[in-house]
Amino acid sequence: MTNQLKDLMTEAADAQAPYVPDVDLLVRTGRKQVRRRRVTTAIATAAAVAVIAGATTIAVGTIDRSENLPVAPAVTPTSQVTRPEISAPPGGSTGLCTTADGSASDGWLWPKVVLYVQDTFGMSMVRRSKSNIAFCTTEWGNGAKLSVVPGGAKAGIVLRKSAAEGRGAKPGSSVTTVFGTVPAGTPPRVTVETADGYVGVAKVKDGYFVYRRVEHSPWPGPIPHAIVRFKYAGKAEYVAASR
Amino acid sequence: MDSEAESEYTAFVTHHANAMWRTAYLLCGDRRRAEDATQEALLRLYRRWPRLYRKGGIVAYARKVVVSATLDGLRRRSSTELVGGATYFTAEADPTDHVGRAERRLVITQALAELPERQRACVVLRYFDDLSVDETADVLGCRPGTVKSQTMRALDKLQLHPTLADFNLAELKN
Repeated sequence: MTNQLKDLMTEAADAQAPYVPDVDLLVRTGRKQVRRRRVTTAIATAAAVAVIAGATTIAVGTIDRSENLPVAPAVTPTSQVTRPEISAPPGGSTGLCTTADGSASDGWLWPKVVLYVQDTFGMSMVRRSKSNIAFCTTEWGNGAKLSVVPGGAKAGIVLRKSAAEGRGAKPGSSVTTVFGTVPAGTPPRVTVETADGYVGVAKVKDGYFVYRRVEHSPWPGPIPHAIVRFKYAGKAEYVAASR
Repeated sequence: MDSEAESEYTAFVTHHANAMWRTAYLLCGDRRRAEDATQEALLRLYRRWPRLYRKGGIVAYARKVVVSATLDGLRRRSSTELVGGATYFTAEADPTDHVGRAERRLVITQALAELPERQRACVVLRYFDDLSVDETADVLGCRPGTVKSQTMRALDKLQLHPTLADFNLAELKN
């Protein structure tokens, strides 16, 4: 019989007294479990957030944001060129800090970075102490053994050439950095035309501008020329400096 | 959970708890264990009640969790323990009951107890709860083909069980 099995099972179940749960107890226990789960979830979420935040803090903390720059390996000058003494840029790179007249500067230790630009081959920055300004160029990675070509201020700009070595550098290329000042007040748009004819826009901040350009100019070698132009709103662009 | 949903939950428990317990009892053959499994299932149901209350499918979910809780409870026990156990049914025999009814009851519960749990669940869900193959597969979390094969094997074993020799279970296969 089709129903025989069902009947047998029904009889077996019927033989037991009906199950009557304590509904109030169930509801109370259910509420408690839900509350506990919420608390557990909140704690787990908070813990996860704390772990992530901690990891982020540690990771961010490894980035040196201090005004006092770390000491980089000393550079042994090998060039025959007469140059200012090399100071120590951050990150184990090599480089040069000079004042506007081209004399050596310990600008790496100065507390204030006015502005900087960077690319694959390094960074150019303007640093400030209470009374002085330093124009700095770094070359990181394997750096440049001949890292210095003096670049004092002339015709209103500090022009510097540095090596472009390692990490995708093309043979016969170098980095040209152009530093300068802009008049007080509303800053102009500053463009720099390098020797290869390329015109790029400089970064301007707090009365200074910096521009970096990797161009085909064998290193070491003569410093290529550059033309700096200012453009104020509503006025024609003009050549501010040329060297 | 808001008060309306909670009162619906209370009503559901009042009306369905015994049915859930009966399924659990046939699956494990032990009143206390069935009560534990049913209670656990009802608590799981409480935790998900707001969502179930909105989306529906409460009965199906309740059946699924009670089966799951019962089978989980069995797995936690010693693997050497026979579900229910011969002594259990002897102890539960009601002396006031008619001899015939008591015997029939013992027959099926003992026969079910000797089935593997998946086969037992298929038999209980298909022939006690009157679920279709697809519904049974949904409850057990397996494919309909598995339900069919497990049910066939279970019925074969039940047919060969000495205490069920007098019953004609062959028709159930059709």
